[in-house]
Amino acid sequence: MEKNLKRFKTLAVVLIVILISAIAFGGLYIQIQGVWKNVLPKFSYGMELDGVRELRFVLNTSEEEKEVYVDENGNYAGDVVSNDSTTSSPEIDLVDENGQPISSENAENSNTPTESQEKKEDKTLEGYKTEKRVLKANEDADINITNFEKTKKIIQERLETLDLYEYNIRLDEVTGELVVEVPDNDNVEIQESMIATKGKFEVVDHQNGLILLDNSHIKNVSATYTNNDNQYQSYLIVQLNKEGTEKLKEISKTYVRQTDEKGIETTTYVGVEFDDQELLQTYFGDELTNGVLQIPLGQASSEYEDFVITYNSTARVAGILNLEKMPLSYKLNADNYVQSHITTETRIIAIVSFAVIVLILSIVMIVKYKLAGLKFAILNVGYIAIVTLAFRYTNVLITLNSLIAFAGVVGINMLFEYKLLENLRKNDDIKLVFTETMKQLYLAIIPVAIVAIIFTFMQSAVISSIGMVLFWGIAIQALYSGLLYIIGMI
Amino acid sequence: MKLSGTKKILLLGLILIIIAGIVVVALKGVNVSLLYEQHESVNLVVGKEIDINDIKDICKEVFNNKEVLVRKLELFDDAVNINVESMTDEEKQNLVSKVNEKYGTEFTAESINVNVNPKVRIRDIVRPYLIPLVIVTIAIVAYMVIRFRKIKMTKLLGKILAIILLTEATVTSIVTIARIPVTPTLINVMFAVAILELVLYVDYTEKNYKIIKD
Repeated sequence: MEKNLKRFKTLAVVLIVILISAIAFGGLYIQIQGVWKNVLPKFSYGMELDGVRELRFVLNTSEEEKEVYVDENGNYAGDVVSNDSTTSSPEIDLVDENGQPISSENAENSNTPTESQEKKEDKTLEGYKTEKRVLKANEDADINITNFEKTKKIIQERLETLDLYEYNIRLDEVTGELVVEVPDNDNVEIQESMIATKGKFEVVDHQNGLILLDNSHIKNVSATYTNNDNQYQSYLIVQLNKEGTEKLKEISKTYVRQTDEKGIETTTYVGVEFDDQELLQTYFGDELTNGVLQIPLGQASSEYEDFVITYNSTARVAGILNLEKMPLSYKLNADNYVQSHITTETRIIAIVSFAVIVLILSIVMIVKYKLAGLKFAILNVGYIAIVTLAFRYTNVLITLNSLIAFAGVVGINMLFEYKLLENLRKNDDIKLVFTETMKQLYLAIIPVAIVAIIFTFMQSAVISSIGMVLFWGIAIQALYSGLLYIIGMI
Repeated sequence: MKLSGTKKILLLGLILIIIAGIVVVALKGVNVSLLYEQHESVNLVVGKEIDINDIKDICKEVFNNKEVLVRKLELFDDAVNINVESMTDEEKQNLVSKVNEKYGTEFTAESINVNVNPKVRIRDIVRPYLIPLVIVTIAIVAYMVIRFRKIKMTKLLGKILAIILLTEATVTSIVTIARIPVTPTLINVMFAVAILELVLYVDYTEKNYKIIKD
């Protein structure tokens, strides 16, 4: 009776394993609106297997003649702004640490205006002269190998701020052309903009265009948000260095709203610009002594998903500003999707080769250990099936590198089975043999477990995918073996 | 450390392989995969469905012994990206003629733009591995120092380092001699070999801990 029950249990487990394997390798098809559809999540592939977006960037050759301010040393100090362009009213204001506007009606110094006008200044400024200059996106003197290399390094650092980054970068040391290969996913446009953005930050006098603060005054930039009455707002927090803090103190006293005896308000504004795009125009209510600029980005939103998009862009801007400004400006010249060189035929050959190796090892196991060997050979197929299902459901990135790790975990499971069968030959105390074999195996693979844990938490997709595969492979091996032991299959 | 006769022969064999590898590197350098080496490429948008094997055959005829890699471009199977070590004007003209003949297109040598794809530097390929490898090494050394604390540390770590270096040098030499193209995957295979060595050594030390520590 007990023997029959054991046989039935074994048969049931084998059938379940076969079923799981059939689902994992063949798919789980359900009829949806009359069409049979595989409802298993698809595998996520790395760019070597899924193809790449080949982005070609060339040096920006645009140039423009402008009237500019020049300091006493002949250095560029800002574009001269025509008065016509300064008449628009600011929509967005700087805010204090609590997210409250510091330049709006609730600012300490503000009074109810009877009449408001923007202060218009003369073009001539003390200490500066104006002249016409041809401003090039890249000055001839800047186009050299040192700056090519520096730009490439900054681009690498920017791309590496993204989660699960994966890229190849090629630099033509003669022309400065950059070819960047990235995975073809939703991040392509983000990566394009991260490469094409110079990272120029300026606070300018809105009235005349004179640069008041720039990247050299930044100490640190971060992103934050507030949630007032279910309205999410993202902020860029710019912490200035000592020199910048002093300058900001002066700026916050100068760019204010003032009311004369007749009740006429005069306001002088600053503009905050990122890559020559104005993020906001504002004036100050209080003197800023802490050297912190809190800049709202995007519109406040009650939709969490919209907010997350804005917040992520704010975080990326912060990341860019925390790195050096690119010495050269690039523009996208070509964008092509190139399919993987690993064709379907090659993939089929690889899968068949892997299956043949597993089959040969299984046959050796069956020949050596007879029925017990057959049982473990089937259980091994079940293990492979469960691991691949885990990859699908946990969105593990499949790369050529992680496939090597996958072969490794399958090897670990087969090694465990061989050792267990060998030990069972010498000793029929299943509990003791199982415990000892597990102990022996897991003590030996501790270095692999260390690699799995550390690699999993890395930002590089290539590294993280290896860690994830090892992690799931080892975790499932332990759980699967434990479960089989508990239900008496071992 | 005394070695048996077989081990001495094995060690001598490995040393010879390593020397041969060094000689090959000195004479011919490392064979880096075409896609990671500087190469030239052309994109051909044919406008009708292409069998990539036909393009590969054309490339074999045009470029003879040069290394060529053909990939499909975009999603509609009507465009290809041909990568080759370098392309002469004559080869470009031949390629255009043969593609025109096969697909009835009207490409001209002038209308085809040859892109130069600079190399991907080895240091850029290795870059993502550096920090994790340093952390992993520190963690594994710390584990081994604690786990096998009764064994003299210099002996334990010296031995494992020697084994890994010898194996890695041998694998590198074999790769170089066999002219296997270097790719990021190959770097990963070498890392996997090092981990395997480590696992085998830890297993061996666990089994013989009592003997080794005495």
